[in-house]
Amino acid sequence: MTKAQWIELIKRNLDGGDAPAELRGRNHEREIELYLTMAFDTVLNRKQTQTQEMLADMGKDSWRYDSLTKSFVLDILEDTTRNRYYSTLPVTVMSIINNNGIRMITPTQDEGVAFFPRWQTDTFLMDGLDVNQMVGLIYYTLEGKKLYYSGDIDCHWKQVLAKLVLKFNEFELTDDIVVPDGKELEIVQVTLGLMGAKAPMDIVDDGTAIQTTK
Amino acid sequence: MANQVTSYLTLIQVVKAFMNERGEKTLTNMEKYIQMAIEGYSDMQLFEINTIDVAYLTVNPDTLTAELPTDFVTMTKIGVKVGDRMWTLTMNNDIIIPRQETICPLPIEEVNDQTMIEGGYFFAPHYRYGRYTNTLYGVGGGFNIAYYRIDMNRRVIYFHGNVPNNEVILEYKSSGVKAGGALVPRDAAPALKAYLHWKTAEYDFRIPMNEKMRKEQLYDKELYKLKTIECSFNITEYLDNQYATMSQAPKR
Repeated sequence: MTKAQWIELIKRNLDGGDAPAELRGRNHEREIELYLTMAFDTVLNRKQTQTQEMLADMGKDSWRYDSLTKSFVLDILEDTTRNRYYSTLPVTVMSIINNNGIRMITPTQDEGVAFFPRWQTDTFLMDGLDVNQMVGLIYYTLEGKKLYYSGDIDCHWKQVLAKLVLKFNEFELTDDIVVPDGKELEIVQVTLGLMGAKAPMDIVDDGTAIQTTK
Repeated sequence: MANQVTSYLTLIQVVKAFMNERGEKTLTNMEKYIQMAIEGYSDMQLFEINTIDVAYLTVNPDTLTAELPTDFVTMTKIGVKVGDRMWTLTMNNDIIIPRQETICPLPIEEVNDQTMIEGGYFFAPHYRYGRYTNTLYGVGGGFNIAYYRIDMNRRVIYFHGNVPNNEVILEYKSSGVKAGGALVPRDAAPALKAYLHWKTAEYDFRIPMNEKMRKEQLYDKELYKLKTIECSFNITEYLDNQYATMSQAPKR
């Protein structure tokens, strides 16, 4: 289903479904797009159990984001004030546990060499440790929409390849958006629920077939 | 042969293999795992694996000091090159370790002005009446051409005496990790992976105690396997050892 089809689907549902009469036909497509964005983020990142959280922590559920990933070539720029190199992300990345919305940062032509992600405090914590003295390892830290790199990245590369999980609203209308793991129903339900058409369903993946409203 | 796998793995290869076993698909923890692998491998280098590193150190002729390698943990030999063999030097803990706060580099006189009290004299290796004399004459042990003392705090070796060509050979136990990483012998890789499995579980509060204990046991088991390989000797070594004490006498 393309992005435009997703929006059209929700619009039709609202117009002809059980939405309150005052809402019918009054939802702008941009508004639906934003609610769909929230629904995608909510459904795909929902962790109901500690086991699910552990799996997400290890990235074992990251396959579900592959179909929502796009590649970009980013220029490496210099921040002279901080004496650091950085790239600017061209899109807003889906917020996923451990910043996994940034799937991979690699050289443009050698995807076997990966740069390692760091959280902002890691730069201090890892400084001085043995791993930090190993040459050839390059790290990146996310700051807003900027990726700051460590080390001598400029010696080797002028551009990097970034594989990013896009938020729904960052896709083009003609982009095919594949929802993994049979999550379509949940996304529609949550979107309608967020828009006030219906209370969100209890969509806890607890192995029971009983669907109750919260 | 080209189609055979190498007998060494890089540290990062071991960490990748470990992450594959865990089914981990994110690089978020990779740096943490590499650090843990370094610590685990350093530990194995010291206590399990029979390897030594060698460094040729240049001795500063003014201060008679040489800097220790960054991966130095403890030494097995310090010597100088004599012909094609190593002449080991003697440790002397009476060499004063200089400690002046404001002088850098270390003051020369503190090292050179030391007076060594030695009760003997040294013969250079020579032939005497057709017989090779290669050592001290008429004295007990503990005398040498040069002496050393290691200052671990400043990672420096201090020397006293004659160091030929201002070069010493240092054989030492390494942490196993250098700036370019480390090469892990293939027989040690399973133990290192088991170490990583254990340590990652050990510090995760979500993992139950019995699982942590089981992973520690698996690590111990892999260590035992590693020790078995490291401590075993082959038939040639055995025979050499046996024959070393045997001698043949003429029949009468």
